[in-house]
Amino acid sequence: MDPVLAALAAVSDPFALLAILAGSVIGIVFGSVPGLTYSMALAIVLPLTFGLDAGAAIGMLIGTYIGGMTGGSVSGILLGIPGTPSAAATVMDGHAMARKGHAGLALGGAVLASGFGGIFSLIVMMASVDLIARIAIKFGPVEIFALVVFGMSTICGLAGKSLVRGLIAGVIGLMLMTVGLDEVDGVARMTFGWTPLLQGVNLLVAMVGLFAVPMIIQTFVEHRDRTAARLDAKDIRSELPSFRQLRLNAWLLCRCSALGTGIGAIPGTGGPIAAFLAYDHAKRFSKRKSEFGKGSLEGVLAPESANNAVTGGAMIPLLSLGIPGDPATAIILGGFLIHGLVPGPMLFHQNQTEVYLVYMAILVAYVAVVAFQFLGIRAFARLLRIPPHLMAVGVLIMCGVGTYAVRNSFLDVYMMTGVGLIGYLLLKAGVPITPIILGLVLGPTMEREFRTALILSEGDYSIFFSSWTAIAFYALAVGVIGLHIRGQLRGLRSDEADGSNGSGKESA
Amino acid sequence: MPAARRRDLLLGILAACAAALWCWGVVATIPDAYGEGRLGPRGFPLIGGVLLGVLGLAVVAQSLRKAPDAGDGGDGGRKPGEWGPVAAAAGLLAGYALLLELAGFLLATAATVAVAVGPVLGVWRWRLIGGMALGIPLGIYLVLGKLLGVYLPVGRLVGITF
Repeated sequence: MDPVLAALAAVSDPFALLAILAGSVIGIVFGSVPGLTYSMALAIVLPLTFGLDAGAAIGMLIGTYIGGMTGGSVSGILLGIPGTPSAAATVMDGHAMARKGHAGLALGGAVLASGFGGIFSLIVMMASVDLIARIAIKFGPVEIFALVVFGMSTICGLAGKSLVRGLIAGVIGLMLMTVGLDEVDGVARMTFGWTPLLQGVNLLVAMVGLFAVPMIIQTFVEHRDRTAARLDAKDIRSELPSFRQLRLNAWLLCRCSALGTGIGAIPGTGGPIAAFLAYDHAKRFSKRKSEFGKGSLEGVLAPESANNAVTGGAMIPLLSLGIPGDPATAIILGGFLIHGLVPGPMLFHQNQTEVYLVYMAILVAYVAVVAFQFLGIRAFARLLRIPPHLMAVGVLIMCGVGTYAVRNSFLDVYMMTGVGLIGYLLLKAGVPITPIILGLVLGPTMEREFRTALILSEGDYSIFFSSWTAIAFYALAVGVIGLHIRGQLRGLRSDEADGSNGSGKESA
Repeated sequence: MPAARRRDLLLGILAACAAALWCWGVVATIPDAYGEGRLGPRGFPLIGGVLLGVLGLAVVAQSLRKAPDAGDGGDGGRKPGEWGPVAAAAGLLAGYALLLELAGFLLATAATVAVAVGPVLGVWRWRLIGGMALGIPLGIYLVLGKLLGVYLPVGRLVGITF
């Protein structure tokens, strides 16, 4: 039988379809609960696939992966607490839209962008798996370090009005991630001899604390002062971005999806980097820059399309070279191996049916996830009808359970509280939170790749300029910083001009 | 001195002091590189500490030189009464962690929800308190614990397992 038809028959088997749908739902649930991750969902789902045939098993794993990646935006938009690190960039505008009464539009936009990004990356993967895999595999420590430097330059865009405060936040993120066992030399860092601290600060734990604790405190304050704003239930409806909005943003969606696919193909990078770069890119090239951070639809579409495009991109090195880019794809790789599917160059010759099965499972999973999310928008948005102070109590409990579940560690719950309190105080001092997340996400990769490159070059720093790809990323980073500084100087000059005009008018 | 400028000065001084403490901790507790030409485990934390110190001093200098910029969402100092909700949230979270460790998920969650809704938020509606204190732990237990297989904490002292 033709491999395509055989794959189609396998994926349209009712049991395989049910497995994909079940995986998608499990993924959405895990993705949307702060603290629970799709890697955790995959680890739980993997043993369930042992008794299934290859089609259903692969479909269930892929459904879980895609559902988890997409579900992170739900809590990010509704509560301001991203369900996954990949959804952290979506919070900035998605939650602002929800606060303005456009939760349905934000959720609808996020779902559409997620589906678009995922299917875009699938098409790219099918068309150019070989070429992209060959390019991506050339990314060594130097190139990945340069990519991370470029990623860090987006702090400029996330810093808001004060670059110094943005940098303080980014540095705090970098510093937090150095606590614990050093993964290169195996040395304890900043633990002061306290063994439990060797586990370090988990990214997810810190992220939940930074977003959830300030939200809980703020809600308590508003409840006490009786200033809490409740959304009008009539404003919450299942709304989609209009055709005009989609047409206007089609090119942005394509660009961000391409960015996500490319970054996803590079092992060791992943969704958060893609989402932050896409957000910065969208803001930088938008005609409505001032709306970003206040509820811009572009600020939701860009990161959501990019982080979901990572799913297709991550499959490229996984299928063609057998290299998993992150823990989630490593678990999927384990599932493939258990079912006799050995990723690598020979896969496309020996297991064509299974390769097409993976492609079709991704497509079906995206259709299922988009359908589930649309059906669920009304139910999700109804959450906003719950009085905020009671919602805060539920969030507090979910954050406790979620952070404990990350590593089954009570210390993580205390850490979440501590990091969250620091985050609240920093917010009160005018220091933005998002650059801290960027530091937390990029810090470990930056340090690991920097030190690995130095070990490879035996201490010769010129290695960081030995690759044209790396130089291109440095140039992009310098360009981003330069543009930001120029923008700030222009703003200062126009403020001064306005000031002098204003005083002139007053004196006149 | 205006409140916003005082806030900036305090932020800068605290950042610089935290950076100094951090750098001392790095130098005192983390060994240097093992080999020639390597950036050891001390390198990145030290760079981070130095950068934070420099940025903190920059904020101090800015606040002394001119009127401070607004930053993002800074409110120019905390209202005195705001410490109550901050302490309540911190106490609830830390208390919840402690209770989880001692009494396990079901009891800890029921107690924390009841305390949060009643004494902390002042919503003295007994049906609501009871409903939430029973509904939230049972809902999470059934959906996450039983259906999805997420491991929920079992208390060391009075843990209830099913």
